Amino acid sequence: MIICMLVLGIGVAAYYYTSYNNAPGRHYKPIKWIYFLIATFFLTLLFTYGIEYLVCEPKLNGSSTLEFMVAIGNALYACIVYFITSVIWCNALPTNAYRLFKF
Amino acid sequence: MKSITMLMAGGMDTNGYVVVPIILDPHLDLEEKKNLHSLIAEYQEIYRRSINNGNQTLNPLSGFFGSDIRTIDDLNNQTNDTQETAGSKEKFRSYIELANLGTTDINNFLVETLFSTKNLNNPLSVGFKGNPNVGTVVLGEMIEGAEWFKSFKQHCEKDDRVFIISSIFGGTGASGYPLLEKKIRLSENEPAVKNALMGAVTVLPYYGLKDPATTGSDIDSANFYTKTKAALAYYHGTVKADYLYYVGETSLKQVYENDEKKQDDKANFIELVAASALFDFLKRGEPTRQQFLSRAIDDDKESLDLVSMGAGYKELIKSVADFMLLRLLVEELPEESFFPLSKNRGFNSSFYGDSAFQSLLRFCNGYYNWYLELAQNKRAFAPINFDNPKKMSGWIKTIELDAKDDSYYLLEMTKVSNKNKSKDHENKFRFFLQFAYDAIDKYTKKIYK
Repeated sequence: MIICMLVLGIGVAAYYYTSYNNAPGRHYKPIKWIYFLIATFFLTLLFTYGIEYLVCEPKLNGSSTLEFMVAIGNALYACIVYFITSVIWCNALPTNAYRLFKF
Repeated sequence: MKSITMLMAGGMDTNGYVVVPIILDPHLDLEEKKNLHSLIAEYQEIYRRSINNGNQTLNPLSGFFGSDIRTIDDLNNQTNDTQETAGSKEKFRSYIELANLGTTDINNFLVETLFSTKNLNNPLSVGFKGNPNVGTVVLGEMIEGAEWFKSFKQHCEKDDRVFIISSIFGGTGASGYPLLEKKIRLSENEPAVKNALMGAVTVLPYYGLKDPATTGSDIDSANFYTKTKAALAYYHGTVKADYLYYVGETSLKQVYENDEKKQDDKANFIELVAASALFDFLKRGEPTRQQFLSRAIDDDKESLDLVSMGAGYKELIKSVADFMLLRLLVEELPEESFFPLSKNRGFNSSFYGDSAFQSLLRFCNGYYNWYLELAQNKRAFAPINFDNPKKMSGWIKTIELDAKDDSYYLLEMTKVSNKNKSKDHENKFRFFLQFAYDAIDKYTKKIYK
């Protein structure tokens, strides 16, 4: 789950700051960054829950909710990773995106 | 000169030459003339800001505003007295001291044969009103005695070139061109002036004026062709320009108001073609004998585009298309708060409020109006589609550009900026023009394929 969270948090941010902003369409606007943040959340949620389901199928009463809550927690952590990656990218790495978090 | 300035702004190359315009028009109150001076001043300001780096002067840019325009005033710190000398309220009658001749003097009869009463009573400040016979008398002395001509002779150096633009169907241009050329070629004490490579473009009739009987004007466009024929007969064997360009229309396609005071005639395609002759001249070497040149279009269409104009106009069309794209970016970018270069390069509200950018904005607005005039005139010069920034692949009519909308250019500006690691200067305005040109050129250079 940690790997899933890190891969998706960093991966989506990397995609946003490279390929996505290497294409036309005013992708630099902050709203697009927010869309990717939301995408990170849902992708991580989906993947985490999928992994949980595959590793340990919820059979006990209430375990399904518990696994979903864990997936939400992981998705939130992924969002934090996405944000931290964005800060690093804005300050140190090349991009065509708007450097929203450059200080 | 307006067309030349616009084309230079769009990146037409003067081959390293500095253009020093000397505008000879005795018509003191002409709004169009004042506007031209303002336009040149605006160009100079933008050019100056693009090469200024504190105490250091940078090389001219390659692209927009890439060539220098300097006036005689700039070179000399003196007032161009063309206006003062010719702009006198003195009547032509008084200028030639007609009163000194007796009424029965044979010379008086000669003068009355050569000049109408209207000619004699016209003040010199309103131009020669399509009367080259008046211009011939006045301009010779006006040129010889003028401060600007002395300054010109003083500053003209070896390898400098002279290019004269005039119409052949009016008064000032038709009479002024051969006189000016003669004065230059007779400058025995200034060999650089006398031997300067000289070009000229003579504009044949291309517009008509409304019936003077209804407007009370002294100018009758019905005489334009007659005057042209007479002038051409005189030019034959008289004018000695190394390159003489003839530009004209097949007929008087557009008819303007016959208002001498305003003369607010719209920009015309023929003027653009005449302007292009200067850029052609600046690329040519010294000919072994006098060259006569003209320009044609491929198809006789009322509205011209790249195909109907022909391959010879690609550079000109690219210049116009490029600048109209720059105008679009100049209009849009101040509203783009999150444009990446606002942070990376400081293209922020302070930059957009600065006098350099404001000058550029004003110039762009003037350019836009100029293009609209060209596109709506007869014949129309309308090679670009500029009205929809969301559908821009057809920006240059008849070819498909890879940039489908304005965001392609914005992205390309960012890419160019990211590739540019130059620490030569910190001139934001120069960066702006450079990145914009490189971004636009990436797509519009397809015109040459």
